[in-house]
Amino acid sequence: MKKITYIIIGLLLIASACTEPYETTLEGSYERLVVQGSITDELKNHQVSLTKSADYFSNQPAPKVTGAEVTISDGEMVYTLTEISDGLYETDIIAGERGKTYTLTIITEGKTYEASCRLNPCPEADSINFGFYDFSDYDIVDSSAYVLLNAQEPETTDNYYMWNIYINNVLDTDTINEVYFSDDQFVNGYYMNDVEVGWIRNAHVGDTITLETLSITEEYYNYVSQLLTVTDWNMGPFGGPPANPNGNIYELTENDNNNDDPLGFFLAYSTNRITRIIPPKEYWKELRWY
Amino acid sequence: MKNLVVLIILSFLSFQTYAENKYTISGHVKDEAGEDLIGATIYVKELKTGTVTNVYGFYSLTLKEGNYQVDYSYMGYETNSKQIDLTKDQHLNVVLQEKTKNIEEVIVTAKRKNENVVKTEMSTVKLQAKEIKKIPALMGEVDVIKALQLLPGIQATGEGFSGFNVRGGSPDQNLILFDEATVYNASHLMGFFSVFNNDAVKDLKIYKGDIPAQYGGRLSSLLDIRMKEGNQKKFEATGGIGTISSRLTLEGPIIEDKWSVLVAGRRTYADIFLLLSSDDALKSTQLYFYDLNLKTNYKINDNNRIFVSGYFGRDVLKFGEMYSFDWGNYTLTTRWNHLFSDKLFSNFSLIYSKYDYKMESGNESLGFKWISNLEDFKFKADLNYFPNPRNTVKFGLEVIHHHFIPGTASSTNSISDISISVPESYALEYGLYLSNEHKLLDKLTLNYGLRGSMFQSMGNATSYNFDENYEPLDSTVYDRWEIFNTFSGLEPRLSLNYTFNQKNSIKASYSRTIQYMHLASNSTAGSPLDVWVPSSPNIQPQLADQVALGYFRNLWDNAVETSVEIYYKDMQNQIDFKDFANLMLNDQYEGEFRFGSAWSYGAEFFIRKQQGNFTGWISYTLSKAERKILEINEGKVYSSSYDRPHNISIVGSYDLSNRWNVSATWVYASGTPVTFPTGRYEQGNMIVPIYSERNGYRMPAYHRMDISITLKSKEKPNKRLKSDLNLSVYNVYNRHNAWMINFSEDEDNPNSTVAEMVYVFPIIPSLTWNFHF
Repeated sequence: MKKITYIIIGLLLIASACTEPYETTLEGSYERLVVQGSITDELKNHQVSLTKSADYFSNQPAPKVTGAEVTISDGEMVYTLTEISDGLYETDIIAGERGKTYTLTIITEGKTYEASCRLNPCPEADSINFGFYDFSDYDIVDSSAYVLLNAQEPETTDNYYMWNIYINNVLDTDTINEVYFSDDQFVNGYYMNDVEVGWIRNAHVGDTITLETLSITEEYYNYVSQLLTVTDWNMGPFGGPPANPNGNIYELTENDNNNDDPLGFFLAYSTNRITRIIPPKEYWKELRWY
Repeated sequence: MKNLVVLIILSFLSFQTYAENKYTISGHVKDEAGEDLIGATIYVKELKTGTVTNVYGFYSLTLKEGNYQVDYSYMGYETNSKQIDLTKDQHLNVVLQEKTKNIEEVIVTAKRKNENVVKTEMSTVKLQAKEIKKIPALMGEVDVIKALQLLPGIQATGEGFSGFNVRGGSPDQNLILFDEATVYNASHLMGFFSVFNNDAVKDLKIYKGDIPAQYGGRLSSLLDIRMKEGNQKKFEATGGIGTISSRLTLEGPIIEDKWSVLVAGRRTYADIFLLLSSDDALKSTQLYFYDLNLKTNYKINDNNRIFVSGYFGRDVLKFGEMYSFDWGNYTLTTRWNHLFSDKLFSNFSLIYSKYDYKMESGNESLGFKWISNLEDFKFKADLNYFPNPRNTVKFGLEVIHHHFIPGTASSTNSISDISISVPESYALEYGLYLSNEHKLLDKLTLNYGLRGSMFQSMGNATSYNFDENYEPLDSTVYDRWEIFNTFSGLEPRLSLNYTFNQKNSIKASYSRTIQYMHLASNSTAGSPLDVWVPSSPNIQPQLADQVALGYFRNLWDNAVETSVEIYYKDMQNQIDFKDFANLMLNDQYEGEFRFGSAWSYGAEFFIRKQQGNFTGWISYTLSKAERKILEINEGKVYSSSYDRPHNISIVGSYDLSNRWNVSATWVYASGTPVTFPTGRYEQGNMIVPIYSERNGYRMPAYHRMDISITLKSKEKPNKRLKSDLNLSVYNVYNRHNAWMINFSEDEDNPNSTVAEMVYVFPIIPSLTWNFHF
């Protein structure tokens, strides 16, 4: 809902705002470890990537962190990750278990970092449909489709979801700002009937669409919201002062300086997939602003 | 407290009985249309003393028996001198005539106003609607708040915004009163215009410190805007057709000199232009605001008058059936002026004010309705007692009942019927005050006052308890009328004036102010969605102490006023918010607040010429505003988001002839502090900035020039219709003033990041046709 407000305010501004490049010099920033990794309930190699932060105008790919000791533990078992390419670490083929809390431990350059995340269960999707808005009155050719989900939302509160779209088995939502994500505030315990959870820019009849539902934690939901707040949703004077998104990775080594905490997130999530081939448009559902 | 009031009144009364052969002249000072003149000067030549009319145009002067020349004067009006043989109490209503302009004539009148020098009051500026009209305006929309932003110590919160900061205070620390009713959100159209229709405004006065004891509830300033009463003599229509809006004001007597009515309306029609747009999506878009002002004024007899005034305004934003959002203020003021005697003036007011918004989305799967509402009922009694020319005593009380509905959102979609809400709550706010403007010596005048204020939180309400990490522990639910928290405080106000001679004076003031209501908003611009929240067990009242010292000097027979003021303001329990604060529809919003201290200081230089063919002012402010909040910026001091060290405004208006006028303004302000990134990292295939020090950088400096040219219609003796055509050009030299600086990925160049400046207003010409008959 907050998002809608942003969009509306944004629309108003775009109506009159103009942009031009702005030359400025910024102070440098010290390097911090950047973590991006996850473990899911799927049986596969789970990956953790380690990079470093850089100066804002460094204009180089993020430097990789090699030779780190990386493990994931579920409290009983400890899985060691092996570095398969520079800065990319991978488990053997394993599957996370729902309800367990996973701890990522990284040892690099003499420092130890740790992150914990609970692997939340995920409700099953019953089916997906495709929807469109009728813009023919406006002479707009719209070849996009909305992905609509049918599923029972569990009665427990504070569930958080994220949805990935695969087109012909290729991840389409490969950038975090393309992903739909939501809390269950307005659907808690209800049957989600054709709820919009994805968007396909160019939908071709016959394409195989896979919807992947991720059951994420509240911390990750907030983290992604915060990432977008300082990037795509930046509202300038209409928004609050910018800040750094709160990740879940902390430095264990005794050190008073809090700023040494790494950036990024280690996520544990459960997932399910449902696949459907895009039918001819007469089988799509017309969506209306009623 | 009450006893003290009675005691002081009695002491003046008793003083009266011993002084023999004293009589009182009292009455109202009005213009030709019967509008009360606020702050008109009544000067007794023989005694070199006098008084000014109060906000209802009333004056009272008690003098020894004798023969006096009394001069009634008001800026822009001919002085009216009366020879008075004072042998009994007299009721004298005086009408002042507006000065007629003549280009050849150098206007020299015997007695010029030097009110700014001799009054104790400092850190205040008064503007008349007529003056404001001459200032070039954005899209031709004459705007009282935009005019204020050109004064020393007052700054716009951002380009084009009608929010303002006074002496380093936050925008929510300004008490904005429209005919005594609180206006909670004075903005239209995301802040680009203010809610005040200049045609319905009589005058306004801003207090940047030294707020009279009569007023309370905000830390930094009082903006007192008075609506016109309506012509008492004849029917009049005033209006205008502008680039984005049209206005019409009708006023006139129902019973001449007894009962007048004013109705003013304004509506924008940006959306009408959208219909012409080639973009079809825009065609179904509605975007407008309107204002409606109503006022009626009935004089029962010389001792009793009744005023009823109201304001209704709304912004509407609608995208077809998909989304609608509207917000607005309502105020209704009922006042009764009563003279208990010719020395004791009273006013009793019943005031209603409300701010609310409603947002609705019609989407089938995401549909929701979101409402928020703040409603006040206020009772006020203000009494002015004029025992003798040396003392003017003011005392009174106010009681406000607040009702907060910060937000309720309910789903209207076919999937669920869930609603989430921030629990409503109630509060009572009281104020009791006594002040005296006391001419202690011929050259020394004191104005001392004390305000006692109290704020009580009241059920229905849900109060949350938080631990030291601002995590909610539990909550308590209170029943209706149950008082569960009380704050109170004393607010002394003191100012003094030492007048060396009629041209020079030194003034000093100290004031303490307490604020019990706060705007839950972490944006600098403010938005219509911001809600006001009460002080509570988790939110202490804000507190400010301000001292100011000023030197006032008038030059060239009072033709030019100059002043220098320095101030220091110390503020406690100042509010900021945690990172990524969630202030909307969050029932535990109090956990997002962080508290600390703030201070600001500065010097304000002001030169103003209000008479003659050339009028205008130059203001320069040098200032600093800082804050320190434990949880923000690692507890280190940081610049307030409103800190602009240098601020210059030049306003000039020149009457070339009886028909042509040119006006220009130029403003310069240091860029506002902003937080820029220093580093970056990659996450989810995006480049994410890393921010360091809060407000460690500054936006580029802001400057802009506006001009306007007005051509008046030819004046003919038998033609009632007068009109003028105004061409305004906003941002004449097309300065691209940064509205925000955006740091983002370069779309064409992976791994690269760029900084981009967004500016909102390039050069904008506009044409307005105004009429009056």
